[in-house]
Amino acid sequence: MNFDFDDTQYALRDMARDLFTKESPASRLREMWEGKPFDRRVWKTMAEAGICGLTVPEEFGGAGGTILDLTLVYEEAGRACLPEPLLETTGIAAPLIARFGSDVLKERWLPAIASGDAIAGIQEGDGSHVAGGAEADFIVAGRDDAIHIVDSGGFRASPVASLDQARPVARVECDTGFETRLVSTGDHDALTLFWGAAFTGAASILNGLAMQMRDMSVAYVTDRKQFGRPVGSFQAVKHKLASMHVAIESARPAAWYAAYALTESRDGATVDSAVAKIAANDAEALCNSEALQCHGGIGFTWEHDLHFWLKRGMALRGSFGTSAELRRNLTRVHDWDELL
Amino acid sequence: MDLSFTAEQQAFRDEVRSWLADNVPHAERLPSPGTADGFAAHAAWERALSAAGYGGIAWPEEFGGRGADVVLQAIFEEEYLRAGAPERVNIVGQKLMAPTLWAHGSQEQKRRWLPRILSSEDIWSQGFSEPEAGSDLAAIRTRAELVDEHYVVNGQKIWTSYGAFADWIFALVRTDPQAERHAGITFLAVDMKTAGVEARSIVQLDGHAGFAEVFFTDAKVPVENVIGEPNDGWRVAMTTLGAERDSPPRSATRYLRDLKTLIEIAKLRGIDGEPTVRDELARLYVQAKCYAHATMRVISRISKGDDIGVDASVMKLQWSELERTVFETGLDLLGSRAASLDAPGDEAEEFWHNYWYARAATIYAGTSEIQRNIVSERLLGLPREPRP
Repeated sequence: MNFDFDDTQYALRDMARDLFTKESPASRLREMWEGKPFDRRVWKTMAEAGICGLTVPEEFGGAGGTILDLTLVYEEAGRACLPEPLLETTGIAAPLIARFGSDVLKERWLPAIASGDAIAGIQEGDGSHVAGGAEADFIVAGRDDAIHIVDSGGFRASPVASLDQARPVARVECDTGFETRLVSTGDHDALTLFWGAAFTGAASILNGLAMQMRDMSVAYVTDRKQFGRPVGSFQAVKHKLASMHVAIESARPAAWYAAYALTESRDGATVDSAVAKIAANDAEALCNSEALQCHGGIGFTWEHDLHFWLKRGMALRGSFGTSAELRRNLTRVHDWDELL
Repeated sequence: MDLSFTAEQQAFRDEVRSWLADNVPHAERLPSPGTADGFAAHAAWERALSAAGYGGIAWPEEFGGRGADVVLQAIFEEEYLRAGAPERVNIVGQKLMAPTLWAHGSQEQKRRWLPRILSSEDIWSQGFSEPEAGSDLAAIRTRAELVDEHYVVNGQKIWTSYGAFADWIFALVRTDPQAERHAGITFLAVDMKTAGVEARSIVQLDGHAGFAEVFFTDAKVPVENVIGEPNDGWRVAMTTLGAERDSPPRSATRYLRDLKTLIEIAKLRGIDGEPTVRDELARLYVQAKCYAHATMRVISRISKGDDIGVDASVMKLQWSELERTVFETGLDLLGSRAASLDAPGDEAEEFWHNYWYARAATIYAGTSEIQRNIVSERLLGLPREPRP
């Protein structure tokens, strides 16, 4: 039994960490918060490093990797609060098209995803808040009884005010029809892949956000002194950080397992992915709340970087389902005999 | 990442499952091990397990064990819990005393004690905590004075599991009162039948007598019962406390089984369809699954020879809090019925026993507060509390 990543996966994580630290530091997030629009320079750099095409099959110019291979990269994307649509494009769209697309569709999008020339948006619900919708080249949309791939001629996007200004959302209207159909939502494998990829990806990004908020808090309370000693030496403070750490370390293995189950087509992968998303939501919510508390007044300002992570966390927590929605679905869709 | 089991591991699982199916006493649940009769019945079950070779599966072959690695141990534990087999009452001997003897015992001591621990002829208890030495273990006061060939022991131990029924106790005693706190402590094995050793049961919150106070009044213990060197007992005790380091963490199977019980309670009360009840059960399900995956991670690390070190504190916080959620949820599901202990059937008795034991989980083996100190100081590197 080996519940660990391999050397290649760790090397990929290290490479991603270096790239995100260098290309997308907090100062870049601040620029976006101050109104600088999203540009594709970092996305292209990621493509050159092989990250964008990680899940694109080799014959279409990608690395032929799996959702499991993406997992540690997601954590790094969360730590960096990366604005790029890695989850939408590499995590969800590429595996769906590779698995269910026609040859024409694959030829059209997969090489462009790998080269960094195509960005995907995912339409959830009524399309009123599609992350990266205004920047996307195509939309993956669930509508009627099918998942659709809608290219730029077939959708209109208008930006709306975003909670997280480094993750702009847009109202998207798609024209769907027979010609945009990718796969029926009656296809069990398609639903498993879509929701599994969305849940596990969002979960690992949330875990990365939580890890960064924990680390920023550790650094702050170690540095900040009151009553002549670091505030982090008080148990009332350090116990909060211990609880944050425990929540993160409960959520991470759940996300890793779900990515493995999805990659290996194990039974129950959708349920495991939903469990991972719920756990990550809850860990992030705790870290979000306690990180602000640990930072005190300075954390409650735009001047401090912490709020980039606080707001990304809040935006992603609702993406693809809040914990309460997912728990409701767990017991509505599945019966206990199946779950246990 | 590869989470499949080998053919050998699968065969072991099948073997254990089949033996337990044939041997676990199901017809009649054993009486509580907190009573004399119940303890005798549990000790008899331990001897049956030992006779079948399942007493010390993790013991090295040279000492009569099967040399089972951490994965096989975890498989055994899962099957044991799944079979609803009785509570284990010789853990202290087989999982704490034995590894201490392997590391620090003389050949004579190993020959004398190990076979009887393995066969469960002797049941051991642990004498570390004292009324004034709980989280701060090095504050122990029980004294042992060397007089001729004996140590004369005076003092008191507390929270000794099965202390009223055990055959032996290993105790930390202070042999050099002048020495600095951690020095001057000796690790001593004491026969519970020794004159001057008296165990008194302590009644727990559930009304059972799970643990005891042990009083030593001029109890004469032969010097050959010292494990390791005199005054080097703290180092020996660290082996004891670290002995479970290479064992699998507490199995998640018990919590998933408990969840099934709670679902049954909800069904019996006709509330299993209510949205708030379903939400509570789903919450517990998520917490238990996360713990299950966390245990797989730890088992995988141990099997590669990784020392999980301080992460043991992270695991303790996870399972002790999960355990508490399990029974708090159960209490909610029972509703006003929880006020009556007169519920039919022995399931209710078991529920309450486990409920109160879960309330102790955040206290024993290092309180949650101590665990959070360890996690924040040693894992996250936060500044230590100024020492008085």
